[in-house]
Amino acid sequence: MDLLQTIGGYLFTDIRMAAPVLLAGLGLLLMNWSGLLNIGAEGIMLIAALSAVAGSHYFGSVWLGLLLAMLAGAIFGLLFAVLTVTLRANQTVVGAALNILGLSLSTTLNRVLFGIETTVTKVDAFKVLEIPLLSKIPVIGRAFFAQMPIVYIAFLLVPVIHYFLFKTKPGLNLRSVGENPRVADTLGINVYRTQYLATIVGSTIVAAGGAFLSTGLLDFFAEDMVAGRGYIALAAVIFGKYKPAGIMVAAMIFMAGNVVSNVLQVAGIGIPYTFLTMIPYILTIIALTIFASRAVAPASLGKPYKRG
Amino acid sequence: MKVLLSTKMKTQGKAGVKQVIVSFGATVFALALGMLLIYAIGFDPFSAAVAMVDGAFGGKNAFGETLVKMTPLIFTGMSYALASRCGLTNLGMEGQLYMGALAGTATGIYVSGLPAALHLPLTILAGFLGGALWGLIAGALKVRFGASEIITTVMLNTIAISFIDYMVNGPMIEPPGINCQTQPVRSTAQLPNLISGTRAHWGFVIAIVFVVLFWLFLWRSKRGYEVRVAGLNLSAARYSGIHTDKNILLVMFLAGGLAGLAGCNEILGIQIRMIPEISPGYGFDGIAVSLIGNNTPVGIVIGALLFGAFRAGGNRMQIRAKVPNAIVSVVQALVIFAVVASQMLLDKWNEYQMKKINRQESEVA
Amino acid sequence: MKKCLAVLLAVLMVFGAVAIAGCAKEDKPDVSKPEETKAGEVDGGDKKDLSKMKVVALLSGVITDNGWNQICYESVKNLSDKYGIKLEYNENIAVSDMAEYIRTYAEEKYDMIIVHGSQFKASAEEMARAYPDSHFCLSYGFRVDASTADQVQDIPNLAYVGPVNMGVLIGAIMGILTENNKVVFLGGQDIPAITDIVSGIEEGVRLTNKEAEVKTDYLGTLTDADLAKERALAFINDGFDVISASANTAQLGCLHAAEEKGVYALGFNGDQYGVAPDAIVLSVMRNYPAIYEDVFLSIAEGKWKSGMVVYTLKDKGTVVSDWHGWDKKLPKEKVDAINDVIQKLYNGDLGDY
Repeated sequence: MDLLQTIGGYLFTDIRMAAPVLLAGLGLLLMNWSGLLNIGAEGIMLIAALSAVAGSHYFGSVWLGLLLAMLAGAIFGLLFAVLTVTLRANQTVVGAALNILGLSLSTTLNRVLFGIETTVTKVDAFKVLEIPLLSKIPVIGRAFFAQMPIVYIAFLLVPVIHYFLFKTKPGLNLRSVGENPRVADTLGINVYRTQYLATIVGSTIVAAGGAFLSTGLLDFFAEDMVAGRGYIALAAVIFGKYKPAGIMVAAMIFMAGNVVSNVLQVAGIGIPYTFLTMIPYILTIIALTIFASRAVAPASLGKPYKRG
Repeated sequence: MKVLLSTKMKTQGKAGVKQVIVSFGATVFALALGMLLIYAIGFDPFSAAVAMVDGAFGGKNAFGETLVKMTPLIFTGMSYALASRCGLTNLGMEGQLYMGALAGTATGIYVSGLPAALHLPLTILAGFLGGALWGLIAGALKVRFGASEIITTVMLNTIAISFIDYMVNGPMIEPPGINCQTQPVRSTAQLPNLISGTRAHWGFVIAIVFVVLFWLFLWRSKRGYEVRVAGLNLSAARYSGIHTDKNILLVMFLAGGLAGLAGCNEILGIQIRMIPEISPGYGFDGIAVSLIGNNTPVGIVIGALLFGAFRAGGNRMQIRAKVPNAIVSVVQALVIFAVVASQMLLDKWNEYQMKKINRQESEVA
Repeated sequence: MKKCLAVLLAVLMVFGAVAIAGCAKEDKPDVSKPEETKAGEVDGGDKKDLSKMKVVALLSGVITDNGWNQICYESVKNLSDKYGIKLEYNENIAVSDMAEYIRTYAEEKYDMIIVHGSQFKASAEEMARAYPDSHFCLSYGFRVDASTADQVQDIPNLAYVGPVNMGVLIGAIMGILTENNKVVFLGGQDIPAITDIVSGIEEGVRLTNKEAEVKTDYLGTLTDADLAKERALAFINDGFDVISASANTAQLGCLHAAEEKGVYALGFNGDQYGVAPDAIVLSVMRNYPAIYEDVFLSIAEGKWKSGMVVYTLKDKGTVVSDWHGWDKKLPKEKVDAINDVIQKLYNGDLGDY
């Protein structure tokens, strides 16, 4: 029983840590299926993490903070779409620039908004929402039903996005744009509009992941607090074979690397901390090498589409 | 008919001039936005701009600093460009840079008794190999398992940086083991000064030599031709009998090596010893450098000059105008957006013009 | 090819235009400068006017990192507030750029150049030798076992400045607070400014608690506060009931974890009571503001000391925050014991700390 409880505890932590990566992954998924490869998730999450704190601070509600974060994400998404869809610029380069912009702009704005104080500005943050009865289930009850609302949202988005992508007409249209924009165009689908929508909506979902980092577990912004999760989300999409459920599994596996690091350090068996830091990243590479398959990516991913 | 043809050619000839104007406009636009931002957060944008230019080009020392910053950027820019030419996205320059620096440092410290004429080339070769092997991992994972290099190279960055933290705090720490740094490399492995009174070192010359090699490889060798063809269309290249897998391995090896040289030169010319955080982001700047340089040799040098000037000038801007240097990164991002956008806008404009002429042509016909 | 040339031209033109625009503007302040200096000299008379001392802090990170760099910013801010000197600092300086920054200020004959961090040791030593007219302060972390002394070079205008035995003080308080006899201290990275504290924790705990299990380890991050919080939660779930950390913003995650789980925590670097008022019993702070004020005055009065300039607990190199009401919340014997051990450490009753 004790062992089971410990495992339940690990699961609890894992799910909570996976949530922001899952959100970022789902957002990227929408963009990927529309044929756009956005490596700028890190930057979007950073600006969102700051916006969430700012919104929560000025409007007094963490939900309004989330809204502001998603708005910031949408603006970054719009910027990405203008450059890569309308102007057909290199998507990797624009994504990399988004990362630079997100890091430097969030650092600068943090200073402007909150000044220089030893005690950080504390704001309203997400609170655990226990679901009655279900959270009493032994072992897994707390892990699944005593989380923050945004964690539920992240996991509920999995079936929602799956349904949208694979069972609805707009979802089918979106995927056809990613597979073959020319054919989609001849079928009367507005390729550019689809890509714009996918990028903006996708970026707001990515931004929600960033907001969770600053106002979920914590209630403040720290410079560079995303610490590579945007890239891990990219890997999760590929590992998840471009399917929402796959991304969920991937996010949980990758973040389990952090749980393992925690357990190993608490156990104190003398592994240098630098190696513990590497675990999630090594895990990601191993997962990619074992399960990555060449065929699953949308066929036109990363290629600019030129109409006419 | 004749008239139309000449108009067509004129339009093409004008393209160069137009490009100057458009790129100029884009950079001005980005810098103006940056200055506006500096003003918005409460600093004087004009003194900031003056400090920036002064720090990058105002005198021997300033220019020396620009050269110092340019050197690693030329290498990382080439690294990204080479991979790009083969249709690969190497985001792992930062990690490769660190591994190159580590290998170079190790050779510079632990190989003894050689004259500089042997020790220095050997150390540089080690630096190349350190980065190259790290790059090759990503190449091998792609060829063997189909793992996207975009992801693996990023993951390998973090792993490399953690590994360096471990090495300089553990096996390679300078005795007796207080500071997390290695001992200095032997004097026989250090790069001599290039301009006296500045920090500019011979690494810059090595960088230029490699720019020439980069050009020779891509445009004057059969393998380079294959790489470029593969870059244009990987699957088509495969059908035409080009060994794409072999090329991917080779390119990731070379690209990693180039990034490794960025780190190795920085150690041998500036730092003399390995410490964590030797690179303030030269790896990621390489993407922007190759973008501005359009993946061409001369262009990369120019791109490196621009971003080297940003780094050198940004330091001075912080000292003189008190502008927090995170702003410099914001401005860099804006320049990338603006230049990308302007290049694409110009292409669109040219397309539009050509279409118009073609239409006129067909009307005449 | 054309594209590249185009970009080059554009770049040069932009720089040129900016330079012209800027130069036109710069003329004005240049004219007024000499007058200012004269006025200052008259005011000062024969007594040295401290407000004319030139001090700069050169930092590795940002001044809002809640840690190492912020405390240095506060030190120069303190000097500026008290003595009217100009507040000058530079942030985010890469190791490879530090020498250049130092040179800029040394050329202008700054009186006191604070180089904040042991990673800049080589640059500080090189530049101190090159510019004998400036005083250089290298902020350094000293381990409790005095092994750091070997690292110090004898350069007459370079001082290695820092508090020592901070970890002992933290450990001693942790030893009293624990009820499960399990305490943990988490550093951000294995760097001198953090290992100096880690090195004293166990010794400190032993002063007040012979049995407690003492764990010290590193998070591997200075910014990832979410990861730090999860790591701290893992320790707390394992029964550790007193936690403290030194990892810039990441350490705030550890303090959050303590508050969420209802265990004791110690703040560090600043008075962090506000971050987690239900967990942070006390905060222990590097007293760099007082230390650098001391060094500043020693330069002004011609009593400069080079080499190792170490501030022990006795020298008030480390200070402890206010109780913020915790002296009422804690059991009285714990409060008394903590007050007592702090007093004894400061008096040197428990050994030479």
